[in-house]
Amino acid sequence: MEKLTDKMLAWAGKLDSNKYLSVIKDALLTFLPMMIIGSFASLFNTLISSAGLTDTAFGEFLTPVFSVINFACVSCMTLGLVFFTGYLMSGKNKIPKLQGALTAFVSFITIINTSASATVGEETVTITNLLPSGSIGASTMLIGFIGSILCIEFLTLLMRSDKLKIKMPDSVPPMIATSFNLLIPVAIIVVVISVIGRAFVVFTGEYLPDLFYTLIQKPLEGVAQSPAGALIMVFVMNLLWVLGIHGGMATRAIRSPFLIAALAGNIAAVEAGGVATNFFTESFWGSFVVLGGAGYCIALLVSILIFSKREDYRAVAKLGLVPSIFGINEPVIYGLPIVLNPVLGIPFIIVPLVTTLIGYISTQIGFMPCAVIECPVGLPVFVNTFVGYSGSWQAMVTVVICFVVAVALYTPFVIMANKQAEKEALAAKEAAE
Amino acid sequence: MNIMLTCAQGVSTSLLVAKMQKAAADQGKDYKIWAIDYLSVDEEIDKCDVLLLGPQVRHMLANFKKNYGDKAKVDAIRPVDYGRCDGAAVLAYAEKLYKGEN
Repeated sequence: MEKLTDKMLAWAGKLDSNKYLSVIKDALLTFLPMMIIGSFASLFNTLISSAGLTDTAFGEFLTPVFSVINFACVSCMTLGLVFFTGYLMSGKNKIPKLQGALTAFVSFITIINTSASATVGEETVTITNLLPSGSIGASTMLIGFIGSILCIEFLTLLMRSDKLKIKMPDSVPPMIATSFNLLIPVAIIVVVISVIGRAFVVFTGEYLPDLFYTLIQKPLEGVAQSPAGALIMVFVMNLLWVLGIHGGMATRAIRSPFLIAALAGNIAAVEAGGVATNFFTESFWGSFVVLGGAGYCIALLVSILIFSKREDYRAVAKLGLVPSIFGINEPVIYGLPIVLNPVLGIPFIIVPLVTTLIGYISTQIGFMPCAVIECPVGLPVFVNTFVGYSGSWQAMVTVVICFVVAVALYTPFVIMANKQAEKEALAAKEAAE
Repeated sequence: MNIMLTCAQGVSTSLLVAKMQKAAADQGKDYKIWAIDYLSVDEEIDKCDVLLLGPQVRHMLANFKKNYGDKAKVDAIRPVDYGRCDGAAVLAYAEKLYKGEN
């Protein structure tokens, strides 16, 4: 067990300290407020139309406001993410951050499709020099991350190369040389990337980001939205916690892009008048995977408060209940402890798998809708479901079912821990006699 | 002495900070103790003498020691102290670290 823990620790450390993954994770974390704002703007529009206010002066004025907020925050997300990624990567590589960010941003725009076609009557009109949301939204997110990372890596190489440095006589102010020494590498990067982009269009007939989406991002999104993909992510996260590592954080870089892309897809579907179909979103995660903290912890605490005869457990549960209501359960994980404790570790891994499955089934049979809201973290349990699922009563029913099932699943293990404590106390007493 | 705690969001360690501040006040010690998310460590590292990681992020310890070991004493909080939310124990641990006894 010790060896396994060490291995997992090393693995999680590598995953977390990996330069590229941590940049992606931090860029997404920084971007999260925009997802919350954009998704709420979209929700307000739904509310206006379901209240029948669309044609009133109120609705006519405000609907475009919320639409444009959603467009700016969600539909254009990759622009912001590319900039952040460039900024954070430049910081890690210790090159000028804003110039790096700008280079990544500009380079990204050179490779995307910047035209849109519309058919008017029998004539197809193509308008050029614009930024269609299909090129700068969630569908180009992965290529945006990879592109900015590569862009900054090559920019750093070029900037460190002595051959590209312009040597000026000593009498020239140093700032002049500095600005040229930045300009040349940036120019090379922008030209090379746009040539690559153009070559793709010429030889494949498609834009590189669009091709990348079809061949790579879309299949990966499919895996993330499959029950198997979701269950594996949930399993790994909770296993890490049982080993004492912040599983949610260690696996965030891999999970987050897909959960965010899924939400963006749901919002786009609803904005277009359709139905959201991606079940595995951040709101799902908060309500059906980590309610009250990892391990569906609130259910464990309730089970302990009802069934546990162990004073030590009851004390931790009382202390941990309020933080857990707000999704903070580290004190419980280390206090009981759950870490390396087989009796509680087993349900801690199994329960979230079951609740994930219940949530999935509830959406698949058409009972619970898929979330179109990015829920702010730190909302109390059940309130986060209410907000994250736009007040859907079906989601509330589902989360209550999950909670009850989770309490029921934890209880035999809590009772087992009672007996274990009794045995230990008896053994200690016998040893003393 | 300035003691900075960090974890994923700085939330769970902030529970411990309150206990540590109380313990320090009870002992009549004038320490500055605070918690931040791990992303902000870089900005605040110069303000602290001791940097303590929540045990749940101890997989980042090697990295943090490498990056900030010359600026502050860096270590992870012991899981037992953390689980009990034992402010006095963590405070004593930080003091030992500061004096170089660990």
